[in-house]
Amino acid sequence: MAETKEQIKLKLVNVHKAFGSKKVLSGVDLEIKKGESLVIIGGSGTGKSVTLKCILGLLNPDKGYVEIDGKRLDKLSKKEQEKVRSQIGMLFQSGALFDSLNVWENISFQLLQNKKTDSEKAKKLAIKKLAQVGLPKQVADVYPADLSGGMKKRVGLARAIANNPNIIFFDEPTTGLDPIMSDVINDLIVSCVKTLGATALTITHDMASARKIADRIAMLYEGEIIWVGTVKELDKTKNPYVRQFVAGSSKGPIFVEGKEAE
Amino acid sequence: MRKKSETNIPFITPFIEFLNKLGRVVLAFFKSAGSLGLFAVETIYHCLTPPLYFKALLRQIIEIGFYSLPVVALTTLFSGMVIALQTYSGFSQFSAEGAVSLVVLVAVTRELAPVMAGLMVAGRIGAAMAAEIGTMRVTEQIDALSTLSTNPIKYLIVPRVIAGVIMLPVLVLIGDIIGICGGYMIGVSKLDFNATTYLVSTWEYLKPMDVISGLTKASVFGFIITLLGCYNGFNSKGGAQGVGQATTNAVVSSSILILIFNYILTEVFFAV
Repeated sequence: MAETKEQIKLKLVNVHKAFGSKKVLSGVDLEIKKGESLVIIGGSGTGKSVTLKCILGLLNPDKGYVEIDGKRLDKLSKKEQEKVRSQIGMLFQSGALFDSLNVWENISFQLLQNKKTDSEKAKKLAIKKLAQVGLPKQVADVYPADLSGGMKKRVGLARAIANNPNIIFFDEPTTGLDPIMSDVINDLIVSCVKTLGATALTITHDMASARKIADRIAMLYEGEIIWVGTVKELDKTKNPYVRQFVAGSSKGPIFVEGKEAE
Repeated sequence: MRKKSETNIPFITPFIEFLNKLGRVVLAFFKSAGSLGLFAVETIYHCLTPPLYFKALLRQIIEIGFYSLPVVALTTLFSGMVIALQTYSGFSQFSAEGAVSLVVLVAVTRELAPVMAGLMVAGRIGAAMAAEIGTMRVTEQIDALSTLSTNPIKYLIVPRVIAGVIMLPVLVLIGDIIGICGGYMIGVSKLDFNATTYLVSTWEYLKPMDVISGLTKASVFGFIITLLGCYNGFNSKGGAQGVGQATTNAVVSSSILILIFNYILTEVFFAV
């Protein structure tokens, strides 16, 4: 029993979240094992990003709780929460790079601001992380505004892994990229997660990306996890919601706004 | 039942609707005031507790203090010149032209320099802060700060507010000198005052309380401008339109509050 609990890195228990009268999460239960890569799939507006923000502490669940390494985050003091969350890396959908800082300052942000590492050392580390995501050292002094979408994602990934986190979140990592660049980013995600031995949670609606990254896939629909399984199980499942989503069909049980009007 | 009473009594439905709308407006006002109050308390708390990001503070000191200097210098210069002209044309009817230097001194140090500098900085800095922080909000940069173990209030808001509170008085002090020089220039070159007499009378009329009250006002205005600029940016929603709205709100609300607090502080310092 204790052994099983030890292996669970991240756990969501009955997480609810509403904005005014709009219910977004209505009891999300999810467990992610240590070193596992779990992908949450689901349509737009099903609560994927809200789930991620609840884990990150950017939003507080109305009901339910989040556990990391067996510790309930809502029971910890602010300082302890910060300590637990400092082991988390995050790649944002848009990259969310700081416009006012150049690439190496973005990557080494945490080292420069919180760990007071000297600039030279921080830049060296940033260049090392850039190489890890396949970017040359010349990019280090460029500002985010001068980068392409794919490069921004790579720099975002370099920033996410700069502090050697043991949990990494990826928010729609391939959105807005061409299929080849998407595949490059997927490969980088897989290799970075493996190199660090980290636990990964990805949210996406890109099935090619999900298949490549995931050890297990969970589907979120109307604020609840309605299916969890491996990639192999995904192809064999009889769950009509999952089948419709994987097929990308507008016909099926999933409610699509404006579908009736057509 | 209610429907029946609504139809039977004329004017009751529009009256209830009016009360409904009024209630919503009042509630929205108190909600925003409460939210701003909490934001201010949190900001002050973080101003008083370590760590302080010195690099960011220095950047804001230069942005608010140094780059606002030309606009503050120009507005106070011309304000001082106008006051000298207007006072002369009015006071000459009572043969009280000698009071021009006193009026310029009092008007500039107590009112014109702090209010003009406050309004100019609100337009320049308040708007820029709301736009920058608002863009950071809608592009998830503020969320990114949190995930990088950095408190966004400490990193973004505290340096701006401290820089505003420190630099506005410095700008106003310089504005005081430039405004008085503007009055002196007009007095000597256009109104035929003796240069030495003008300067001596200005020096004699100068009271520390006039300058101190102006600098205190400037500090309060600096807090209002930066706090509202940051608050509106920090809470902006909905992409480019939301950022635009935040910028407008920051400038309008801080300008109004500057004028209200100018009256309150004048009462505090000079009420008889």
